[in-house]
Amino acid sequence: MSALHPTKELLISTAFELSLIRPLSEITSDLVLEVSGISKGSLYHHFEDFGDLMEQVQVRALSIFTDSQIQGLQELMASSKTKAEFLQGLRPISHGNRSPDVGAARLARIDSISKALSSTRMREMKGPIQQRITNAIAEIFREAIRRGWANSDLDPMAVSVFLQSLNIGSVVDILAPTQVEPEAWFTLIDLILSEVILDS
Amino acid sequence: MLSSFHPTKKSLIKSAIVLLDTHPSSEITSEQVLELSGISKGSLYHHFDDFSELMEYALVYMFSRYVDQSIEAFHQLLIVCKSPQDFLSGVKEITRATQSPAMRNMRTVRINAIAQAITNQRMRTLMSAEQGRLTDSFTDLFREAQEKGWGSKQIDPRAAAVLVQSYTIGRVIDDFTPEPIDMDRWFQVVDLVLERILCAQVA
Repeated sequence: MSALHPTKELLISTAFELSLIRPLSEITSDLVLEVSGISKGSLYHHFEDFGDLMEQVQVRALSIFTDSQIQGLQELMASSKTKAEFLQGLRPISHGNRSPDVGAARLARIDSISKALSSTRMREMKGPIQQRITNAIAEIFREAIRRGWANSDLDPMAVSVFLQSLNIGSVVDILAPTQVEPEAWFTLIDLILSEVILDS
Repeated sequence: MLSSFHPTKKSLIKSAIVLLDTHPSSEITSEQVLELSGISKGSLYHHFDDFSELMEYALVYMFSRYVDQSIEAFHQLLIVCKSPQDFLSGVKEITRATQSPAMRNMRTVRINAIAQAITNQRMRTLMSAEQGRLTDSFTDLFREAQEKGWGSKQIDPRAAAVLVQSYTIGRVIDDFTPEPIDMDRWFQVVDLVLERILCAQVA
């Protein structure tokens, strides 16, 4: 990231920051140029087109999201003294906040995954970032197994993908005309955590 | 459901679905669909506002037609099973079918379709109605399993319906990583969730 040309970096960070406060559809090249104070010529010197810039913004968003997830998990592991504390800390992560904001973020993540599946270039950029988070979650469960808090029969990598798949896959519920009661969903996820994943 | 449509409309959608098996949606043309279906251009525009709308239907129904096969398999299972053990092993078998390597392409098509529906309100409305129907169907099946004593009574049927659909489609996060997980280890997690959480305890 730090190896990027300062102009290129400024364009990506400007567009990224705009993406936090506006829907992607409203982020135009004119807006990014105006906010960053960079000329049109420079934009097309560093990027093939505006779509190329916005793709790199998605990669940046995924990377920042990944770093914050990993940091949160490492802090949880460092601060948990007992299995009960660990389970308590896992809850907010695995429940997936079900507020409308997070619904929008999940849809944005689906769009990001869709592009990774459809373009080799995006796959090469996003695949390793996704791998990093899958490995980091797996490492947390490996440590939990060492401490006797998690089910040692299960593969930590499979547990990692399973928990993430529940979060991403619940987009099916966002799409439907009526949603599951949040309490019913949380109860189910808690049972999976306590009776399957952490049952040693 | 697809079966409720006018035969011409259904035939156009089915032809587009056939083409989607082998082509990315962006490469499919109206000429290809008309040639394959043997239907006239006029009929296409009688049933759809534009060609994009036909492709939206195809993308939505391609997926739900596939899910309907699982729903039908669950339905049959509820009829033929004699015991909770039968039911649990039947559910495990269906799970393996819906997550077979062939499903990988279906996951990609589905994720791409959802991504498209985020910014396309017409498609989103269509997808939302179909998704609601699929979740309702799974909810009813789970409730029926609970009544027979094979599904865990502790679980909210709609939450169970969303759960099975979530891990089936959500596995997509492992489809673009350099080192995908081992499938046998994946099924070990899913099987344990079925055994200990969704299905009634088998002694």
